[in-house]
Amino acid sequence: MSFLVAAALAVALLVVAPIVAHLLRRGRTPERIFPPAALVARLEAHSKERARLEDRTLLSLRTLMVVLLSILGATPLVRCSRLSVDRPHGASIALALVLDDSHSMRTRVNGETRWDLALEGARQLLRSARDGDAVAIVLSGKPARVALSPTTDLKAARAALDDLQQSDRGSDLENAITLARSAIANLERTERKLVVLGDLAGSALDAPDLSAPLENLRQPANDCGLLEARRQGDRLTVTLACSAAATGARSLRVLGKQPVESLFADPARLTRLALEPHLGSQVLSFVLSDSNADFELGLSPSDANPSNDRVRVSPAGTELDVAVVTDASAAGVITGGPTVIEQGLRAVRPEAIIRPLAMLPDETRELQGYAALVLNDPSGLGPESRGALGEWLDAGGVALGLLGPACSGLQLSSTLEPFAERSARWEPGTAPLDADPASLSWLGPESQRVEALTHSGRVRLDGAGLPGSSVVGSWKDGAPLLLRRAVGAGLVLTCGLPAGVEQSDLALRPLFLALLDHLLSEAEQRRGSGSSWVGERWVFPAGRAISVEGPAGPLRLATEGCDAAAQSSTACAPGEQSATPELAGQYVVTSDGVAQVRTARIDEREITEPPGSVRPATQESGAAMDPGSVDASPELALVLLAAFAAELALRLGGEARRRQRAARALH
Amino acid sequence: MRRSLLQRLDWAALGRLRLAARRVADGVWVGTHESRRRGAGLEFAGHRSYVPGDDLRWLDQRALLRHERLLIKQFETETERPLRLVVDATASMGFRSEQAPSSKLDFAALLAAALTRVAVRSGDPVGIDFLGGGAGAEPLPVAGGLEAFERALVQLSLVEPAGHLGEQGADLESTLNAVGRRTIRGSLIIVLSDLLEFGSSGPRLLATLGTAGRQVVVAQILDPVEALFPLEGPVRLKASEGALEVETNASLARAGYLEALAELQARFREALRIHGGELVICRTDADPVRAVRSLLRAAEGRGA
Repeated sequence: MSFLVAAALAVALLVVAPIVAHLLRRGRTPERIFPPAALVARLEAHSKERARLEDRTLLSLRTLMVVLLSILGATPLVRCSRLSVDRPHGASIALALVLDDSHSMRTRVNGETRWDLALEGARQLLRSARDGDAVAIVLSGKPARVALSPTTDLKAARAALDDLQQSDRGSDLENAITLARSAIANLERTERKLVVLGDLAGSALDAPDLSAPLENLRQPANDCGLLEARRQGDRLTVTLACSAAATGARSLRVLGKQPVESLFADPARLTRLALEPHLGSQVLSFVLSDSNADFELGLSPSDANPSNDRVRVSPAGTELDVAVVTDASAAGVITGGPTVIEQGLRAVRPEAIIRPLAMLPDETRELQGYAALVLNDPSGLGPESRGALGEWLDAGGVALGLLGPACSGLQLSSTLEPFAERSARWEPGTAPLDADPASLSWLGPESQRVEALTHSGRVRLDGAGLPGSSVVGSWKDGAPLLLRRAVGAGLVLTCGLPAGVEQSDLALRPLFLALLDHLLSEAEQRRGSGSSWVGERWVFPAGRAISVEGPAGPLRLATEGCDAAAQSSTACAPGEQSATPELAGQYVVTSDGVAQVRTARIDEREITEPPGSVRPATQESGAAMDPGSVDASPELALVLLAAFAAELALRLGGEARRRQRAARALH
Repeated sequence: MRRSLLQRLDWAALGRLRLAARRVADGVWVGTHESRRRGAGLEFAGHRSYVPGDDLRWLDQRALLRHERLLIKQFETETERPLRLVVDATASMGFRSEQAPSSKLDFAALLAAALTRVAVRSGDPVGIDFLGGGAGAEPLPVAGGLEAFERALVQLSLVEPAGHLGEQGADLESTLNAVGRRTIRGSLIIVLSDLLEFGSSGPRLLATLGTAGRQVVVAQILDPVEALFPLEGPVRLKASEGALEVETNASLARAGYLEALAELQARFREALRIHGGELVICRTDADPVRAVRSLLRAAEGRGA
């Protein structure tokens, strides 16, 4: 602190002046000559009390004015702690704000959510922006997305901030930073600043070009949350997760007026339950006495994030049913037991109900109960089966066809539709064949080990794709391995290898599990339990009358090829429709009058991942922040002016009142 | 200040009082009271019973022969009626509030000058006595004519509010007794004072002036603040005479004060009425013409 600052602040000592004056005035009431004073009664106690009451507001105002004057004298040397953009060269800058709108930002810090604090930080940064600065806003909730493309219109940027809503998405910080970096990369600014406003859950930032102020967002939180309450027949599976900093036992209780005894077969088990928190997720199973009851479960006591302390139990009939049509001898394993397909499905979705079928049903109603179908090495599909399958797919079914040697011997009336054209044929061979990992990368890291996928041959799918098919995986030699085709509301995946271990290694590779997982995810979204992560897009076929009612009201539907303005008009020819749930909870999707319940759930990492860290070098890089460099003089001057005006008004008002009373008494 | 100017013959300052007094007196009505006495004269005014000592020249002999009763003939005659003004010039009379156009002493001086003018125009002699007032407050012997009016003006202009009745102990009694001794029968005595320092014997002493064929009218001169006490909030009140200080809340004390003032006035009014005297309340923000009229009506026994 310099001498000037100290001198200016020393003025604040004058704050005692009005207090002393007040005390003196309180002690000495105003004097005046009054000849008939002998006729007036003494009322000293009353007069002193009155003096104290009258002067209190004026005293406060005058004290405030002295303090404000001293601070104003010290500014801009004295600066308040507020986020602002540091611009060492004084030129216009490009600023990218990465705001974390994931579920973990609902955690409360001193009564305010991390999201509110981050939003306020963003507003403060925008306030320090000047004309000519370019601002972009990126949201790091999964998937990362641009909320505001780079713009120099600061008003629009503020409006965009005001429009942002908190969500229950997972976190996708790395992609958000990449997006933000690319958003401002091409701007004509000498300085580019990238600011992350979030808890950085599970991340450790060390890039030199970004900064992450708001240290208080990264304090560990005592949080346990309910992720899901899934009903399977009369069984209830409750999944909850806790953070590393969670302390204190939790208990589960039924919310609402329904008695526990009417819902649970063993209600005492629920009421006596004391859950000791430990890092990670826990799964609890209960037996329900009423498998159709609609109720909510709550976690108590409440913690730093109360928003995840309650969950609605999924309604009956939302189990994920998967049909597997295969010859047990073809897809079986030498040790016996379920086929490799069933084992794979159980591995990726333990809660799924898997039903092996000897043959493909001929009627649609027999397929209605299934969300997904896996067909291994079919020897052709008859007209009835094709018709039933087509209708089922159109209604949202998801099918995976694992084509094998049997496709070479199609009967006259049989085809491979809806998986492939008749031209698809088995090509025997002995040389090991590798798949192209790059073409399968969308399945995740499991797609890396795909060399020598077969030693005995493959199905040639070149030119065998049905209209609308796209190649989503291929062999090293370029031949298609995996086809994808949308049929109505459903989806068909066609693989050029069977699951049988004698024909290929496919079922023994992680790629197979990733493929099954993708299949089931698609099925869950389209027909099955409808359980998906918050932020995952739900896709609906074109032309259907779709409405989605969520926890916060109707969900907005986006139509492919139509912007928001055109959607309401008839001019837009609607394509694929989609909706993205932003909040966890249950949604009722109505498609052409048929209602279906879907659940959007929180990613458990939003609770279990601890807040991230920032490497000190990054924090101090000054890439963006100078948290204590805001000149507060204008605001202080305004407050001082207001205080002066209030003081003047009080005095004038008091004087006018006195005169009025005197005039009334005189007349 | 005023006194020093007058000592240097500040006629302009003197002229203001003169003009004001004339204006007030003209407004009042010149010769409002004809000084009528029954006795020797030209116009017969009736009979009365003889009392020993009556002038036998006015014994009605015809009535004696006809009715065998001793009756004295009376004739109406105009005679002078001396006016004695007693002006309170103690320190309390120097009080002037923000709402008042002048101090109480200035207002009393104006009333006194106007009354002097009225009396002189009626042919009555006028004398002035002062209560307090310091060195400049020299009593003015009873005299008639315009010269008396001029002298009265100078004297009223010179007087300054000073001293108080309490300091001189029996000063009030001795002064009023002296006034009584100097005032002949048939005189009208008008006391101009705020009556605030007269103490408990004040009403009796003033009433005594109204004996021996004299008539007394007391004008209580009050500042509007004294009359209405419109003060608010906590205040420390200091009497202009003496060391009395009262700390009070004016809003709360107002009702009690007005009651005490009314009680004081009632005591004076009661005492004066015994000897035919009157009490007139005059506020310094009131019209002086009306104040003088009230005093004259009171002097004629027609009430204030």
